[in-house]
Amino acid sequence: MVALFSVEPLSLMAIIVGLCTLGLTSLRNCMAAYGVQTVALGLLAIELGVQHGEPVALWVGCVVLLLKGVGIPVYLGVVARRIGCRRDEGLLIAPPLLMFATLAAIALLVLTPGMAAVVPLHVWPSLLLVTIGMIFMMTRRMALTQIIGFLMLENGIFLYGISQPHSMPFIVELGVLVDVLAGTMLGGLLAFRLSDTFDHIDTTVLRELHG
Amino acid sequence: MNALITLLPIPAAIFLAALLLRDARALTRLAAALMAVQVLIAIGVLGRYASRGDVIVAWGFRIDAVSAFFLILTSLVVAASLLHAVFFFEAEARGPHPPSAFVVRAVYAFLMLFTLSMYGVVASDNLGFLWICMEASTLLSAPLVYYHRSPRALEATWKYLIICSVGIAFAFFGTAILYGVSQRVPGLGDGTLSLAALGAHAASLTGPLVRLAFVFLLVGYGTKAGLFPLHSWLPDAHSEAPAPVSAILSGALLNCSLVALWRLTTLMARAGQGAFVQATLLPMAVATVLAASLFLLKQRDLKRFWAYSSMDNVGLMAVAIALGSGTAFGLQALNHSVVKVALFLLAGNLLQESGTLRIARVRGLLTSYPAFAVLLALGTLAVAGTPPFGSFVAEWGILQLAVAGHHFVCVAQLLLGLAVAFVALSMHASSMLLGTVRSGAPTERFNRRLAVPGLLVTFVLALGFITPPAWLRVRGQGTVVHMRQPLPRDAQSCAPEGPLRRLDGLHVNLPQGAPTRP
Repeated sequence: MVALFSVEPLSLMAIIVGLCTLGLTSLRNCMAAYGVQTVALGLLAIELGVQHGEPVALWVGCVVLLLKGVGIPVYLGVVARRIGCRRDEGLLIAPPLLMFATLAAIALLVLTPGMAAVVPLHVWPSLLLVTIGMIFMMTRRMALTQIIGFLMLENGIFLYGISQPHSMPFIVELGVLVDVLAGTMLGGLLAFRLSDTFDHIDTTVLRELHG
Repeated sequence: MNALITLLPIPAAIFLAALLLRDARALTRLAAALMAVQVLIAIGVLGRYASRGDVIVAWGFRIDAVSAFFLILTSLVVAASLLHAVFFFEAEARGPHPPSAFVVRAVYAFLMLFTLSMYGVVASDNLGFLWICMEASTLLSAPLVYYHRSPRALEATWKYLIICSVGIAFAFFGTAILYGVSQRVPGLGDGTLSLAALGAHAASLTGPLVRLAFVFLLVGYGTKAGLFPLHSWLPDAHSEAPAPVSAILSGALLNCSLVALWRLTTLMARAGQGAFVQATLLPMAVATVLAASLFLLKQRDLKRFWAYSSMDNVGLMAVAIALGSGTAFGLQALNHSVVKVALFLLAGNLLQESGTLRIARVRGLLTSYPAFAVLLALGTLAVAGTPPFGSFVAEWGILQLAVAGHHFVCVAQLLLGLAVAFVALSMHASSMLLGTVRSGAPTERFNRRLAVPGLLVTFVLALGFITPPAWLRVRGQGTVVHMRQPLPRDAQSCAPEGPLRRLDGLHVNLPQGAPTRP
């Protein structure tokens, strides 16, 4: 139950920002929140890199901060503006309600005795971020918000990587970063095509193929 | 390691040709010729590794029996598809929506990068590289699925991109956890992602985190392989892509994800988690076979039909992996890839000839288009695992393996699944082959577009006759694909523990007195 209290302030901030994002409906705010979360994680990587004298973590932190923390929100913001998509009211459940429900569920999980034995303490922050990203993806309609959910999920994995005693090899981190950036670019382009073809980017209406 | 480098120039050359050549016709022919050479190079350079127990690891990549075998198979699938693509694009140019030269060039450029990413997946020793190549294969093949530019194709591409990316993200989480665990293993220094190094210290990979990592990796690579219930993207992407791309997605890409699962399964078995691996992977694999066979019954579109049949076969391969037999996995992969490429190419022909893939709209192929009908019938029999095709030998081997492991419930479920699949396959195929010809049905006698599928179906038929004696003779020495992955020299002391090891010797179709691998 001490899980959350032993967390770095920056990763705690990332989790709180992630939770808040669950309650947002404006696409612009969602992107800004993603940016803040990613910048926090980039700063954490830089901090840990300086602390442990690991230049790899330092460089990765800088690149992530610039490309993912600033570049991706700007790119997705441009795509959203061109498409003319402003809000995502969520699927099945109103976003603010979802946010509080998730908060309650997390509190319940953390306070459950014996949870620390099932999942080791150091996995908690990243697992929470991954779960939040997953919940975000599953409860949103728009193609762009789903991309943001995927990126938040990926942030959780990045947090796990940097919170280990040694960071991943630079080439692996770089390859992952290139894949994530390319995937986001491709997702944005497909969102354009979706809005051209269907006049909307509501993925829940894509029901042509089934069975 | 030079063997791997020799595989690079030809895809790179085709990629450059796609960028520089303005003539789409010349490009398709050049690519087909070069890719045929690539198969010969792959067999020449890697063939000897496929029949030996050596493992060479350098720069994060490895050559061993598994990677050599699947590199050759991937090259073969791509070459067959590109050879057929020459005729496919000629027919497209005559069709109602002729692709521009730019589109054809883009298809070839992406196809070559996609092929290289599949090579990367199969030959990776580093789990990070494996993940990067796997995600790259999704990103590079997504534009290929969008070839027809229809709303359906767009929907399929979107689902493919988002579902596979999220799935693979979980695999990266698993990879990161494994990396974290390796940092706490004495002897591995700052941690490692190398399969060889992890395998050598497998005995120290213990605790709940290792199991958590495997679950994430299974979810991730299982999504990409199309294991139930993570398969929803598969029929969409495979049916909306153009025929040669569907053939590659089904015949090569699915194998790549299964190779990733095989690598992780063997690693886990060495870490003493064999029972856990079997308990998670085997039910999923059997469920895949059952679900796919039920889906097969209600399909109305021929390409979706073949896509679900691929899922059925993926389930069987996953059963072989869960039971720890690389031989059965390799044999099933070989047979399935070859015949499924033929069937997807035939489906492409049908779409081009008659403008529809609706099974209900195609009737009387045996009278209107006999050569095509015969190939379709043979291909359907082969994919259903009927004797004397090679796929029968492979499926029989898997069932025997399951019986030998005392997984009787699994055997019963597999038999049920296979029987339902057989009913579905024969029901739909016979409705297309028999009956009276409708207007607008293809009426050609024979054309060049049947050449590649014909060769492939003949190959599967031949495998049925070649395999049993050859396999039984050489399997004892571990030829083609090993049941037990050979360990690096310094790891010989860490032999695999648990059920997987026990199963290694359980190939009951080995003849008495066959030499066993030391």
